[in-house]
Amino acid sequence: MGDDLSLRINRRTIAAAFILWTAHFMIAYGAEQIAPGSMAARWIAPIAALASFAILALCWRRLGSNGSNVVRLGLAISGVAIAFQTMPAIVG
Amino acid sequence: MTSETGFDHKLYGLFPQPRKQPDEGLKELERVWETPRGWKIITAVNNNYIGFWYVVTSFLFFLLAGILALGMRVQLAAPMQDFMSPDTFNQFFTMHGTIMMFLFAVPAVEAIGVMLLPQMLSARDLPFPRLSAYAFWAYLIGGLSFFASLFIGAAPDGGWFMYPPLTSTAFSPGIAVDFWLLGIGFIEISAIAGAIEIIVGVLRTRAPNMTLDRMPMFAWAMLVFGVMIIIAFPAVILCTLLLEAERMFNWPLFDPTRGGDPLLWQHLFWFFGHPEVYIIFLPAAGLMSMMVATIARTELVGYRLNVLALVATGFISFGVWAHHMFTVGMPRVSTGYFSAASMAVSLPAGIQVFCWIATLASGKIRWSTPALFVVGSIVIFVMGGLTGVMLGMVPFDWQAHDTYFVVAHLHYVLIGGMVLPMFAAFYYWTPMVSRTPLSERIGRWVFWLMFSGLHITFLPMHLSGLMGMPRRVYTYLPGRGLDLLNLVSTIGAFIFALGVLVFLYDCARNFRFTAKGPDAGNIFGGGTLEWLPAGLYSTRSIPVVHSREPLWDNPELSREVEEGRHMLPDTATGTRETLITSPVKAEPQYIQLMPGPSIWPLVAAIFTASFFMSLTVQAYPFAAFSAVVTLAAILRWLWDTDAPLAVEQAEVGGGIVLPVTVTGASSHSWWALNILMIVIGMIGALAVFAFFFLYGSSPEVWIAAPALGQTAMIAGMYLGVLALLWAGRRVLRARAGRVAGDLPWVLVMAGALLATWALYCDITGWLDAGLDPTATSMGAIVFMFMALQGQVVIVSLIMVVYLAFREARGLVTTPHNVTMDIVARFTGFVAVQGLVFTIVPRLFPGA
Repeated sequence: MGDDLSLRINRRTIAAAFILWTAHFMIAYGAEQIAPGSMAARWIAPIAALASFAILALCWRRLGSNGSNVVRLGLAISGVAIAFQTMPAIVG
Repeated sequence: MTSETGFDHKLYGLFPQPRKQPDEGLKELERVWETPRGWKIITAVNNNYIGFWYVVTSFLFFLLAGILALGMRVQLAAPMQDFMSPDTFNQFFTMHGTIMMFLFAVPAVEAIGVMLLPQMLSARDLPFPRLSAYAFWAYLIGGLSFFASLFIGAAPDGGWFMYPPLTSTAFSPGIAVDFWLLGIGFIEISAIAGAIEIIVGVLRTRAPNMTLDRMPMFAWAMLVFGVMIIIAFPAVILCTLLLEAERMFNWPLFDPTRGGDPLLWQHLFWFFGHPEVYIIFLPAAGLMSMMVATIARTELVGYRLNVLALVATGFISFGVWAHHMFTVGMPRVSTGYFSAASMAVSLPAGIQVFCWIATLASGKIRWSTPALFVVGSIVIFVMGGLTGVMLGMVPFDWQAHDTYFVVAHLHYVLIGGMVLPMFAAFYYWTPMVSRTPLSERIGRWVFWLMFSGLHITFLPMHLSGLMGMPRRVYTYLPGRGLDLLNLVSTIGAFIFALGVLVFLYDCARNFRFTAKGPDAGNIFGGGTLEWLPAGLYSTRSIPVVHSREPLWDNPELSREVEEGRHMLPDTATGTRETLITSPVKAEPQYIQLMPGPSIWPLVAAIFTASFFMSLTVQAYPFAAFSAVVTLAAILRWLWDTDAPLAVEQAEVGGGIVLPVTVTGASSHSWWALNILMIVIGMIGALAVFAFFFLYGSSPEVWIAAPALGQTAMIAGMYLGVLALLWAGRRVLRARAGRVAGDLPWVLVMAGALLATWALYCDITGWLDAGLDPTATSMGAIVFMFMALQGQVVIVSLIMVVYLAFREARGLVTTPHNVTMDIVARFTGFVAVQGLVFTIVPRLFPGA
């Protein structure tokens, strides 16, 4: 029952995880488009990543101890994708 | 389980009903759903017919594009051949790519959806059958007209992605490019119409208690597919509009000498173009997930993981568009972002593949023809995916870009990810629509010929690509190590084609179409609802669902449904109808009355095609005539759909009484209109992206905005529109139980007229400020905003006139009315879009 996709918390958490990835992508890419190659544009991606990780952690906690493992995987995939996406800004 | 709508779940316990329904009810149901015979069959709107015709047409385009590919392979079989001229070769590869991507792949999966989904969800039909019919006819007529351009020397030759400046009037002066731009724009309308139908169908017409967690995987895949279409396809509609505006009106959107930028096209095109790959793959993956379970005779391992993977792919695929642009000189960090997203998207794809392998490993495989195709496609898709990861790495892409390595990669992905699953689906689901199944023996020949032909064709292309053979060249020099590789590829292509030919033989020999049964039945032992005994009305009664494979869990279900012992047995209102359920938990909400056969969708499609064709050849008076006829046909088809009701409520079995048709957020039309507004809004949002892109690219051509007071006045007008619409709906509600009268529609019409005036002020404001759409990219994009706004304003005006006509005939009911609801909300959308298009360019002026 905990994994049921009809449960509101599961649906919303999965959607939130990937909307967060989308937002991080748009912020990082948008900053680079506006000011290509600038340090400010490169700093935005890791800062946005830290904020994203914090929100993902909150979502993880909200699931509680009986939360869905599938939803946790969704949070993990989103986290990995965000971390991966931050690399170009750090490495340059 | 808590209720979503207030429906008492204990009522599900009433089904199956203890007694079977009398036979008279079944006869009545058959009469209501009867389809016209003879030539009148073209008025059919039932998914059994439309879905089948759709599938056959898409397969026809697959064959036509395949023949073009064979022509190209003959030309490339040996160096310096003159089987065809360079110009013809250019037309062939352009048409091959365009037809495969736009006329085969997307329509094919949409077609399979139209055909299978109602049965899979146990709906009587999809919620807008006439929209399905329109989408099909528009696709058929538009597609055939587009293909015919080959025979009149007007076939496009700029590649399936039509990059400017090659496709600008300077380098492509004829009408071939216009054929592509207007033809594809038209066909995309059909695809979007189909997507709206599918999204609303999946969310609102599922069998009772088929919660999101019990939905068949194909339904999940089609839901994600539909959402991706409404997000991605507006990009291609916008970029075709922009390029056509440049070609037709000399608006310099892609001309760098006047502030335009050709890269804008690439961004917009690939924002559609890469998600398109997943749009094609995901439904095929849904089909695979369903077939894998039946083949292995066990439940799908990781159902929820698969759903998660579908959703994740849907999101992440929108962050990879620029990996087609690694060589255009984007900033290095931006390139890295797209590379990272390209790697990340392989995670969810990997989850799906592992789930399939785990299912096959945990079950007991029955080695049928669909099983061969399923396993073969997993192998091929993984191979294509691995080269995709290679191409996602920027340094490798720089080396392999525009070589045959990319050709090999994309064919492995598309054939493994879509074509072979589709053939598996043909063999698996044919017994549902044919009196006899396809041959297992011949099917194995088909599989092995296609499987080996694919590898013989495309495996050598990895090598020829790495050796430096570029794409889209009509010949190559001898003695460079490419001769043998190309010869082998050509032989492979003919082996693959032989496989398709054997499949056609199998169809001719064994396929016998039946829309209303009896069919060959559930020969593979599938557990989902499409295998219930069905007629044109789908199932006699709509079962209450308690698991993901109801037929495996309740072997008696077929008999119960056939005896009418589940919900909505026979017909409750004496007309075509289906059950509308809630989006998450599929709780019964109301009975939707459905329109029957009609010639108007076909008429509308013919004249829509004629409108676009006339524009292409610049026959503007005939284009205007066609537009008027199209409009009249659409309004005529809609006229019957919102009539006052003979019955307000009806029983759906077990003493459960539901309303007949509702308005507002519970209604299916509310969902459809919202989705349509998202589509139009996406076109607007991407136009805003284009504005900023051009602003960043050439800020020196930007001029000062009109006066602030004028901006405030226009914004005030749009807010006034919203107030008028709100008042119109309030008045209608206040007149509950009485005649609607003139005031509600007059208020809505006043809103539409005010929006028109606001647009006029916007245009004159910019003209007075000295902005010229032909002089600079700023002029072009700002006037494109106003052109887009003009389109929705015109639609809004037509809608309010239609509303007025309905009121005059006494068809506007109180306190709620579907037509009034739709017209008011659409006009509200027009005001919001107008507000954005007014404010954005004025907030970012030049010096």
